[in-house]
Amino acid sequence: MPAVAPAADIEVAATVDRTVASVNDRIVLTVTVTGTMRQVPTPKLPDLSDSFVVQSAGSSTNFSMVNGQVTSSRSWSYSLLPRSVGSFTIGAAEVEFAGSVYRTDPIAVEVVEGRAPAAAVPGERQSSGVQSGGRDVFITTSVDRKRAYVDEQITLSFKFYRRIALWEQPRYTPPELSGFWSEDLPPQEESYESVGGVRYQVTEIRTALFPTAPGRATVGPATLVYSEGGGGFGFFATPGRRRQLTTEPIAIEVVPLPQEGRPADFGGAVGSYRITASIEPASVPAHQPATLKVRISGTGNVRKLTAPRLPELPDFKVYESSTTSDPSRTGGAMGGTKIYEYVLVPQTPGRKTVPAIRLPHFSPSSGEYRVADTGDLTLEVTEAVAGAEEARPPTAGIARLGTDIRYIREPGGTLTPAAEPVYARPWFVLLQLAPLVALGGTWAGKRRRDRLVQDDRLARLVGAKGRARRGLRRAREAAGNRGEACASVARVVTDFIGDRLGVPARGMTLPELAAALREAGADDALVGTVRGLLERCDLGRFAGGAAEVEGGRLVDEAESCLRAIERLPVKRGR
Amino acid sequence: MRTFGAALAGAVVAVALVAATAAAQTGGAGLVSAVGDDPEAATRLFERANALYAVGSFDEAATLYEQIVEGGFENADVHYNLGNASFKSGWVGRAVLSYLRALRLEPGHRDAATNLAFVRERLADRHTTASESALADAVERAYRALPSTTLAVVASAVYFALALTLVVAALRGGFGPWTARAAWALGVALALLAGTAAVKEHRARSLREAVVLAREVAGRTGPGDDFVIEFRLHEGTTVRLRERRGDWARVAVAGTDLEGWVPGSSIESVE
Repeated sequence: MPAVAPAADIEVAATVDRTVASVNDRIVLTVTVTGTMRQVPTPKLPDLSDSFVVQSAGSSTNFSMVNGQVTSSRSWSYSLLPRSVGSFTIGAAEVEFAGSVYRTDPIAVEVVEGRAPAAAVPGERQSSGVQSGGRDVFITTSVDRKRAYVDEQITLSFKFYRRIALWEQPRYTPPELSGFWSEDLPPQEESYESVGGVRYQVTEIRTALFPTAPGRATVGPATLVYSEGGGGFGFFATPGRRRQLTTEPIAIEVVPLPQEGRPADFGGAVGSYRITASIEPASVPAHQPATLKVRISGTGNVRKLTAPRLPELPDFKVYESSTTSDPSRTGGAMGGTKIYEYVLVPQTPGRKTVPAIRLPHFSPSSGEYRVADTGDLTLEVTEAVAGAEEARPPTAGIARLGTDIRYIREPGGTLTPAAEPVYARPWFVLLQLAPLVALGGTWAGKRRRDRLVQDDRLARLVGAKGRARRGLRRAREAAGNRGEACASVARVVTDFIGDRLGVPARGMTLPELAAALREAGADDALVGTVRGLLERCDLGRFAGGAAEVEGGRLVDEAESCLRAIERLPVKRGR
Repeated sequence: MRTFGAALAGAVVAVALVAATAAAQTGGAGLVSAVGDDPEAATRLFERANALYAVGSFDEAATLYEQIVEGGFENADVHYNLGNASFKSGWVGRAVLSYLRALRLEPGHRDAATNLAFVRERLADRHTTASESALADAVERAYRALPSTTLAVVASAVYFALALTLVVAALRGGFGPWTARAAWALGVALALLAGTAAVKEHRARSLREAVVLAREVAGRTGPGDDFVIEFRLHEGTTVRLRERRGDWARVAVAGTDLEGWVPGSSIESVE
């Protein structure tokens, strides 16, 4: 049991987790100071050293805001290890605040040999130790009655008990409520409860249940998932261990409404209701509308109320106009008001009577049927106004009268298999290679251009063959002009040697050219052939009529020479 | 040159991801076998099933729709109609499964989406796909709104535009201010699209959905009847299929931390 020392703005409480313990059990003593003060004063424990070995087990702080006022609560926990068997009293803890001293009540505990009985936890409905989540946190579900009539309210209460700070918002899964019409009963209520001498913070969620059919209905298990341990903020946060609590299902016996005494016009209303009605205006011309307003109020499932059966009204045309309901949840009992409006159009003048409208209903508290009625209503109907149109029925929005799945599809024509998506088609996949090819080609071309720009010898080497071929073609075309043909052949051969060997061949003498060829690996025969060719070219150019120099042959010899030179190894570098 | 090479490498990686996604998602398109070879035969069965449905012979209609499906003929409307016939016959699990298959083939199938929501509202287990944050929900919705075909085509177009930009830059001898900006923008877009494709592909592989077909099934802590029952699932509940081991399957319930083993025959994969 808790010992509480109340004060205007401070509350000091001491609790233990068990009042009966074995000598080997540790008793957890918690002293909680709650108030609106900025700084929570530290309690002073009585001297317990004769009876217990006392160790501090830390403290925790909670803040809560109710109606804009911040309340802080700090709990100090102490572990008490009994020194011996016997009955002991934990003396009052003291807190000094604002010049006053507040004390908790002493707590009696008993220390026994062997194993102490487990502390009873009223209302705890965990099915097994696995799902209980330990006794720091537990949940219960309960109902205010386990036997009820069809449509009689049953109040389901879910309670969440905890005595430790939770770092994460627990996740609550409400019980399965098949067989019930359910309505939430807000708000969630926060309170403290003492269970087995331990003070718990309790959150309660209530739900109104209305059984829909007689027989056996079950409130399914409710589940709560929370994290134990963990803490910190942001980067330093550490996750806690995830635990799940589940409650036992609750069986409800649903009793059918009695047949005995059931009024013939009973429409299924269960609860305690009264019914009133009014007609406005009190006087109307014939064929003009008046509004009949029927108001039902009381306790019960007003949402489920059906419209009361109107009496026969031969003097009126009657149109339904609107229905509004205003449920209330006063004191945890569902109830409220439902208003039905009708448009009455009197057909003849005179004093018209609307007979009493009855509301037969079943009262679960008395177990019998009752009938409420409105009493007779009257309406003065004057002569019809000449030329006035008869009132028409009121219009309203289009109401959805039922729901179902949409109808099957019948597309017509031949059924076609699901098309292969475009991205799965081979041409699409292959198309994706095109940019890669274009990029690769551009990249290679750029690399080649860059190298040619940077490497003169390579640049000369790359075009050498083509230039030589074109030069020899021109020389062959100029074969009739011996001098020009010889000059062309000499130029082509010299340039080709220069390009291949990377030497300035045009400025070199024949011996220098021959030396360069030898250095490049040419044998004497090739060197001799080249020298002979170039000497004959010079002869043809400068000696004019040397008969042995014939243009066409020179070109053939030059081609042969160039092929031989082309086979020489190429020197790279700048 | 280094920038050019890096951009080229990035484009190659991106297109590889898109292509991998495309390849991974072609699995459902193998459509041939008995009925699948013959659209005319499938159409005759379909029309016969529709006629049976119209006169209220939902069981028989469902049997014919199933013959078309089991024959290997994949069509969203066939799955949708099978879902309707199953629901009308009282097989809500089969109905949910069929609607999900219709939506897998045709994500924009409005009737299937509407009926799936209708059926789920009436299931014993409350259906939830909500994650724990609004941001994650928004990302999920945006992700679902982007069909794979659109993703692949847009990614391909961006990829071509990026390649063209790089070619222009290469031919001009380097990036100008506009080509650099364009290349950056297109590169980032392609990276996002490739990332989305990678996520989609990962989800397609890892988040396999299945539907509970048994009226009620116990989720146990291990693959066997001797393990502790952690939770119970009811017909029509959609679960994530983690693995199959022998006659048992490990499933997780979306939106919760519930995960356990159920008999493999009590569920059927949507894939």
